Amino acid sequence: MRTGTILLLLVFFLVSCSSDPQQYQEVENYKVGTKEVALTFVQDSPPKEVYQKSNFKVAVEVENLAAYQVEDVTLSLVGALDQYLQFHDPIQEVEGIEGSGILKGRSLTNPQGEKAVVYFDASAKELFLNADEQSLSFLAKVSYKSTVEFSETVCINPNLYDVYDSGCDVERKNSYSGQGAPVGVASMEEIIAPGTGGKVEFRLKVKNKGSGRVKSIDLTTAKLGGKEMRCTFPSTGTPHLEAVDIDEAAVVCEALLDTHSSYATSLFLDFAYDYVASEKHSLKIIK
Amino acid sequence: MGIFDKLKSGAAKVGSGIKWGAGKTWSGTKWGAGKTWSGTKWGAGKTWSGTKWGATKTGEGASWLARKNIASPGANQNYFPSISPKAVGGAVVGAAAATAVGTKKALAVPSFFLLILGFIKFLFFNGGNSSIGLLLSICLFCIAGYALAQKLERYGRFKLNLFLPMIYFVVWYFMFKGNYDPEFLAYFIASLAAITLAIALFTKGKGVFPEIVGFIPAIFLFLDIGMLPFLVDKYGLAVTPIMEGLLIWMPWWSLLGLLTLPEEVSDNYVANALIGIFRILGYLYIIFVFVSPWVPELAYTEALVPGPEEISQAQQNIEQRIPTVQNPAIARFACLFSGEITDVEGCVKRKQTEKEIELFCTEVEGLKKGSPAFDECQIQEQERRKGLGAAAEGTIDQTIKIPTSAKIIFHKDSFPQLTGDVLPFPIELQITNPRRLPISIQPECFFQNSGGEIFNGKLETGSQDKVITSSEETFSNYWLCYPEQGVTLTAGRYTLLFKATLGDLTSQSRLQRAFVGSISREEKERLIKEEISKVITITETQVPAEFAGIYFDIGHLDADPIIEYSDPSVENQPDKPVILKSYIKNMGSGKIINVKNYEIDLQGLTPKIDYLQSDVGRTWQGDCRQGSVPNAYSYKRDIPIPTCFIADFPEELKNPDDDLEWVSKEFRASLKYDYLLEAKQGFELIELQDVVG
Repeated sequence: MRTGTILLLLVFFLVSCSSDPQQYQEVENYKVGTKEVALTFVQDSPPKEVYQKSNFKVAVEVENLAAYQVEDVTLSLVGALDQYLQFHDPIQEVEGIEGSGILKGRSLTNPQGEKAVVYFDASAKELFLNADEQSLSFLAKVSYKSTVEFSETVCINPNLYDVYDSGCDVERKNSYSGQGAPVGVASMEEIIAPGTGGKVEFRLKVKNKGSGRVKSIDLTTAKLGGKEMRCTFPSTGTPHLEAVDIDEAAVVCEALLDTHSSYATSLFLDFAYDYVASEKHSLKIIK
Repeated sequence: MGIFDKLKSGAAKVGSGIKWGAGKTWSGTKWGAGKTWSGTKWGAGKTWSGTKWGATKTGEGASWLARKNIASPGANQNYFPSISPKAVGGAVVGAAAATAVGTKKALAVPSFFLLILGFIKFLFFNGGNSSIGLLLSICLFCIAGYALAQKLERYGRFKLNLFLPMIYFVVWYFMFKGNYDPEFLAYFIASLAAITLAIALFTKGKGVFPEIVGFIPAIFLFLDIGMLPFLVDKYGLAVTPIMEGLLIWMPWWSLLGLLTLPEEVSDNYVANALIGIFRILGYLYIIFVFVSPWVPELAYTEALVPGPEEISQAQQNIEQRIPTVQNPAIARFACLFSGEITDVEGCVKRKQTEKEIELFCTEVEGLKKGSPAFDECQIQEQERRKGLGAAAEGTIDQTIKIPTSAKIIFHKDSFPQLTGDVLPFPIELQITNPRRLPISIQPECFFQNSGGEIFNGKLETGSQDKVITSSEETFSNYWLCYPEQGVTLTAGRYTLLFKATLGDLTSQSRLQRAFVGSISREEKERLIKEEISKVITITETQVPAEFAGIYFDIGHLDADPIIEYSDPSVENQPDKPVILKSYIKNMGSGKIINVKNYEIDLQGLTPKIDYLQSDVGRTWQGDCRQGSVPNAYSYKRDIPIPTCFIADFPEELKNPDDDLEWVSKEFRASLKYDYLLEAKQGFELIELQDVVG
């Protein structure tokens, strides 16, 4: 009797766990995690081996897996030694649906992200002396401009020590997995200077989690509850940062507190960045 | 002196050395006297029996050696009776007596054997195609095993595991002829690994360490019989000064003997002190020879192990390539005593170059030492060789699977043997010419008697032409060499010399560089790490393994793949000069006799040539980019090419496109030259009466 009851309960649990995916399809949030523009050499184009003194095509697929539109997308083939391999037009702008150099990001209406294939005409030259083969490597390099948004609900509590204030609780520090782009806010710290004329300071850490490198970052928008906020990169003292390769950068935002009681509000930051990523490809020139 | 003469003298010296060791000299000292003898297994009583065993065995070994030599081509049985097995056996006995120094110090005995016999081997049988040398190496190999086994006393009977790797090596090297076929090696190594694993299990791991130690004698045997030179010869790796030192001046077995000597070799303080000094001197010698870490070129080894004959041939070839210079150890002593202790290495190089220049001016130019012409020759040569001081590095181009090569074969079986024979001496030249280049071949032959007198030879071939031209992929031709009319070869030993001048040979070498424009240090580091290192693979010159090639370097530093541009119009920009340096390297065993043309394709770079044409010397014409060396035979081995700065770049290399960030370029250097190949073969003519009688 007891065994039967247990089995029945087990069946009940199992049945209740399964559901119709059509009925409860979850809305995917594309603006989380680390996603970027992906480069893929189309299979067999070029083939792994090409004959000397022959022409062939190199096809590279550029796919925007990020949640944001990318612009000025340029693809170039770098490092080919012209004695062996010649690309006739090694720098090309990627043609997207929206226009030249634009690829739309992933969204509810475009869950796959936009992709484009770029073709390069190439020629394999003569092998060196009586070499049987020559292995060569070159890089496909994509450069683009894009943006990334960061929004978070924060608690502003000017009376940190007021035990009677039953509003929100300030979370001192939060970490984030990303905002659907290679560049994103990795962590945020909230520091409140309470009292009259008090202010709130947000210390954010922007990180490059993608496979390429960030050449520059601009903080274009910073709002706290709809109000503009002053934000700078401490290293430059401006909302603009430029370097050879920005791996990590600190951003400090400040706002004055004009209330005495705690409240929850939204923090919104918009960054624009220049990004470069590359992918190596090898082929063999044979006799 | 022929090889057999060497054998005789070598054996004689071994014998005499032993007598000295076994005789009064040693017994006169306190080293081996009294109690010392009685306690050791190698000493009196029991000791003697052990020594007798050694003597007998060694004697047998000498007999075996004799048999081997008789069987080997070109051997002369008449010579062997003079190498008395007793002498060799006595040598070992004497050395044992000389080194038997004490009961507690029995450990030292085999080490002394190694030290002394190793040095005898080094002095008399180093390099060359000597069977005695090979036999001695094998004896020393066994002694080394015994010496190391004594060091492993604490492993008890497991110390005998040490002999396993030695047996493996012997089986593989001599029975399987050093088969390096990957499939064979896989089976062979797997079998050995299984045995090792079984031993490890049965001995609870105790037998593994002695087994590892057993690889030491195997490695030393390999080194001693010429593994390094073979690698150099096979792969044409650069013969660095270190390599030279290792090849010529390193008594490998003595080194092992020194390393295995115990801390104390006798109860006698003086004896210990003497040995200590001896050891320190030995170490000093090694330090002098090993001036820097191991030979980096060994990294190029692919599984390829030659047979003993091939190795000896390689060692001979290498030694022919090395010019007559001062022993580096002697040069170092001279530098130290002259007070140049701050830059000993530079001093050694300078002394060796000075010696080479001196020989060039006296032997090649025929000038008398001390004469004004000799002084001028020295100054000029020093100037020309400055470029070599900062010689470009390089490696062998592995993509050129079949290099141009040549082989001279003496068909010795068909050589005349009697003085009256009117028979020719057949010689074959085989050339592999995979690029089907038109090569002209001009052969000559000579005879040299044992007194050094040279007689001209006359060559006959199927063709009437003295100079043959071929562009076949594989060329092979026979010549019949006769003594010139009027020359009669009397009974005695001779050397047949064959010379072939290969004309119009070509070689191309290459080097890759990345032009990055003017960028920051951080950007440069990033580019190297993320992009350039993935694409630029030839950072040092790659030269096909042919007779000769141009080694060159373009850039800021040696083998730095990055070339930056410093705009002279921009203020405060650090000046980054780009330099082009090069030289022609003789990688074969012959001689470069004429460089018809050398040219480096600079891909639009403009060299700064700031010397006058009047400076052009007698043997060399041109500049850093192109030229010729008509009298290249004046140079013993490498031929310097002038060094120059690069004055300007093409615009695309000065400022690469922003999207590309950098531009890669491959530079190529081509060489057209004539090359002289020489080979010798000894033979003996006897009178008919001697055979009949």
